[in-house]
Amino acid sequence: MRSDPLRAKGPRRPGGLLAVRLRPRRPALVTAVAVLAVLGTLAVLAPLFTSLDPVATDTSATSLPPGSAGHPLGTDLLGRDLWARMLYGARTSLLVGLTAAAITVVLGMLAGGLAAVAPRWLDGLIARTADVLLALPLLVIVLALAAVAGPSLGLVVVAIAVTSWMPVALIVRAELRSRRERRHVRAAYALGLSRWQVMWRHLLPGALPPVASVAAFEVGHAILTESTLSFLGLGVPPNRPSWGNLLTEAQAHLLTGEWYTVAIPAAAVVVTIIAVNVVAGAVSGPSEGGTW
Amino acid sequence: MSPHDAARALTVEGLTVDVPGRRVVHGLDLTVPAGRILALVGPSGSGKTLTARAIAGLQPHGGSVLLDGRPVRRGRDVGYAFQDASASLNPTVTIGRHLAETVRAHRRGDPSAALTRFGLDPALADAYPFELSGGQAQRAALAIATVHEPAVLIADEVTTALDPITQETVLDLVKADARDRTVLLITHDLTVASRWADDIAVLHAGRIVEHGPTARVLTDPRDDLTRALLQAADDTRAPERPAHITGGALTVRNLRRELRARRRRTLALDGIDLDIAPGEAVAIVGRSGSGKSTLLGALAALDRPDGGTVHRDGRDVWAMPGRARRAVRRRTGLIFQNPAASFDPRHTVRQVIAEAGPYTPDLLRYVGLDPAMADRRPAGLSGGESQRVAIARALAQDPDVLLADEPTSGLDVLTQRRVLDLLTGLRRDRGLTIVMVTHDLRAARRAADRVVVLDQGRAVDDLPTGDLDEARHPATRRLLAAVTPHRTPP
Repeated sequence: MRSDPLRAKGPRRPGGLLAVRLRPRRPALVTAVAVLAVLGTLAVLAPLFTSLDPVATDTSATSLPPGSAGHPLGTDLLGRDLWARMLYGARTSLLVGLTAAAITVVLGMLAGGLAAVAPRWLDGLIARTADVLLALPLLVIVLALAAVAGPSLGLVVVAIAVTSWMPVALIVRAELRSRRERRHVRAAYALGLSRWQVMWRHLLPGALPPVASVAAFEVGHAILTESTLSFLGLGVPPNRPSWGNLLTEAQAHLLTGEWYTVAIPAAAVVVTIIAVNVVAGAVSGPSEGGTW
Repeated sequence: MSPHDAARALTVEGLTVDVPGRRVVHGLDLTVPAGRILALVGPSGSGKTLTARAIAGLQPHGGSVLLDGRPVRRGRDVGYAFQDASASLNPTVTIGRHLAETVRAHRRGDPSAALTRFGLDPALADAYPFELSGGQAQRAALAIATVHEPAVLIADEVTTALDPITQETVLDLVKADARDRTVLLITHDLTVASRWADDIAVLHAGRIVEHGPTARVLTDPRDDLTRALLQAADDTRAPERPAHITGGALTVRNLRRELRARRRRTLALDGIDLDIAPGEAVAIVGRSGSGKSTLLGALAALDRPDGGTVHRDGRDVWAMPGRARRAVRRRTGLIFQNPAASFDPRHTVRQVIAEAGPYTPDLLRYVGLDPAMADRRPAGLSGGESQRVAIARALAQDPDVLLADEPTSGLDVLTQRRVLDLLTGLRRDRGLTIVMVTHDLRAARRAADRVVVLDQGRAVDDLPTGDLDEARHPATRRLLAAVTPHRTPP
């Protein structure tokens, strides 16, 4: 019997990038998925969990601490309900954070993967473009983009992706280049696999664990960048709440005793990053017990 | 130099070593007088290395280790040369700094004398470990281990990775050095022990099952394991011929291949001509760096030659389209040197095999492994197990040519024997063509009916295995001389 690659694939568990190994006995992963699901549900169904308007001010109830009647997380200086702002803010932040991070990672992996297999000139072009973009300040690029496209939520996502794919691409490129020389990759070629099969089954899956770490970091980065851009009037309207906005506004309160205005949105961002990190780590498969 | 003193001796009493969960060495007693070489022989996992590490004070242990009646001082009294010298030396530091560090720590020793003692030019002190050849690195490691004149030298499988000629040089130097100290030679190779050791202690599952002068142990073994080891080492059955032949034919004409490193170019293959008939078993032997593995890469249709042609069943593999060449590779089983590295570390044994062809538990049973092993990952396999998984993977391809790169190197004699039996059995039952690269002439005799000797990229000798002893070419004679087990007078 001769083996052909299609048949060899048949009854096995899916290999390569499709190998999402969601084993039932992994409490950390189950918790992380549950956390993301809860955050997503809260964001989507925000009006069901609060009757208050996140932007309405109430001068009779300013600067209330958490636990006050009617305001479970308290209010800010203008009397806006923090619970409502967190719920509606989750919509913007999760949308921007997760989409921008996903696009960043996909874009970076494509660019890095292409650079690793491409002829030398294209590899050089991609690597040098990444270097140049890394050297330019984020805001300059975004201002240029905004001047062309006009401010919107979509612009924020695109701007973040365009300015953060470089680390992912350079990591993927370096991982693939070092993995190419590995003995087991040579063994895969010796089995008669084509370049694409080797790339898909052996090279990319091996490069995933470091990318997974970067992906989680990118989510947090995107959530905070969104608030920076919105503050400059390049993203969502500044009065529309997002976790990033809440953090930016609350900076001034850090030393005035109203610590919770910082702590609550910061905790939300951190929890999201950790959950994404765990999920991304699971998607990228078991590590080799190495550095990541 | 420390004065020769007949009263000096290394005494080990009731030595025990535990690893988490179990005891690996069970109460070992040994006495080695100064100036003698004791070979600690045993199969993989018998506790040889742990015993040596305990004696050197590198491993927590029970029992006592005494030198002239007082406890061994760690570092000062015992020099330790590791199995893989290039990995045990710091690649960013010169050999000279390695030596100087030891000299400074113990306030004694002469770096250039240590290098000269092991046949190295003192000028090599300025070299970095990666600039040395395998044999040089191993000798440098021995020089570093003995520069501060310790009373005991432990040589832990120092020649396992070396070709027989380099091995001979290194062990001759160790023996010359043993005049002044006690040497513990750790090896799984009885031939090495028989030629260079004064006494042999056979270790099995953490216990010494036999201990005596080399000549006595070799001629009158008292333990079953010793007998099995001797038998495996003396195994000279010729390979059986296949009843029916299904294998492929390989033809190589004027093959040239250059290896380009950053600064230098090496002509690895310099005009090789070779015809391998279907169903034939050919051993390619030669020293390290003679081009053996490069030739195997060309035969596997993996590396494009810089000149000449490779034909498989009459078709030029580099003239055919890529798809057809991949089909040729699918019909070629390739077993790599150090097979554990040839498995994707993220895959299980089952995935590794399934990539080559349909996985069935029978494949693992055929190579003598428990099918329950299918869910293990490569990192959890021993050397012999990896080798057998590699053979199972090659079998899953249902190949008609099997190429094996050093299939027995680094394995103990019993495992070597199992692997060789497996290869010869495969050829007998399935009529495969087998090409085996090895520096072990014993393995070549056991598994091949023809031997091709490579030297500096040229095929200098090509003869039936039976005529090996009458070979005339100096390169072949040199290889033969290096593995001939002979006793040096005590």
